[in-house]
Amino acid sequence: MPYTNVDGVRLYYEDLFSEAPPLLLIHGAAQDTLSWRFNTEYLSRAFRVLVIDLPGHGKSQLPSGGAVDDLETYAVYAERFMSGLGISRYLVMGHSMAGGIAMHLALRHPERIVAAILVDGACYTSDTYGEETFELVSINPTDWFEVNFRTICSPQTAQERVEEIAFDVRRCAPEVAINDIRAYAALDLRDRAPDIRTLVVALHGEHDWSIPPELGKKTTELVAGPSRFVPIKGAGHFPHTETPESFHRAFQEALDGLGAELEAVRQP
Amino acid sequence: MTALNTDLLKRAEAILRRDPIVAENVRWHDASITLICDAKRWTFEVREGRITLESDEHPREQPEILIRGRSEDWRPLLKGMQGGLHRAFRHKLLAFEGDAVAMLTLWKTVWRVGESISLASKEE
Repeated sequence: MPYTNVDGVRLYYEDLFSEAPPLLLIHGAAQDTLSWRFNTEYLSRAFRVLVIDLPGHGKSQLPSGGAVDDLETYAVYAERFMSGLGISRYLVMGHSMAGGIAMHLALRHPERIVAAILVDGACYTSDTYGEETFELVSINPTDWFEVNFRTICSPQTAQERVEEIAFDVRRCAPEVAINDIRAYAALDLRDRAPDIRTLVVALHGEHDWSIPPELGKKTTELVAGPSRFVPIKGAGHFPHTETPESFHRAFQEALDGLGAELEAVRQP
Repeated sequence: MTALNTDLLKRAEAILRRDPIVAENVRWHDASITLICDAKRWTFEVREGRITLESDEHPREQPEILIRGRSEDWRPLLKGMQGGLHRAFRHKLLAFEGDAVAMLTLWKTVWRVGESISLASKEE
């Protein structure tokens, strides 16, 4: 199994190696590489797909200082991971809180990021979390997150798929889960979004009440560079898992016309 | 007329007793889940692996979870609002008070109480 060391932390990753343009996939809060299990094969037809477990998630090591609690730190791990593999230009797709990580990457290194693709992500939050929420949720983050994940799926999603999504969260360490929502809750890049000149794409499940589609749409309106917003019918907060085929169509639609840009980042 | 009433909650109780998520969650934990709608109160007692709707005059000897709101605050739940009581907590549509440890220990049951009310309301 492939592991690499970033700043003393062992990170697990999967690399569907090819000469195609690199696409880094980053999972959302309390999840891991498995959250992309319905997508990697499809995406690898056109991209060299790289998938990582963020520190403390899945098979990656918890940093010695404890669970990460801010998205920019996660972004630093992601960019050092890609640099370590010798990849200097790539697309990044982040789900939920990792949409914020993708935005940080676009801000920190616009010369490296061809496109930041947000899946039910945004550059800010809907203010539903406060300190009193964290205090309460920290008593039992695992059950709270499981209920959260179950309820933010679309009502149209098959129960079997909801059970799989609920299974994802039960594998996550509670301290990692709670720090993920702390990190997400602190996200507010609205002031800096106009500095982003990279292509920003927001793919968003229409039934997501956790990060509503309006936030993804607003994010695409705030950035200075080209942007696209593609709603996904019948999906909640996890469109890539709930409705993979619709998600793949939306992904394709969003990236249509990018041929020349993608050719420029093809790996030698 | 209040959004919640005893007939509705009795039907919700029957649904809760068939719910495998509730059966697993209440197995080892005792608490009272009190619902307050306008000036009226109802309590689901969780004791020895069973959940029972009881009159609010029943003396409380165990940790109490309180969920409070006006009729207009409860109505979206009755209409099947996606996310149910969990969303009501996140969006502060209802007040969640009382013993925090009991509340989070029984969070799955709290969520299912909301789902059962919504289902019972549909039956109506």
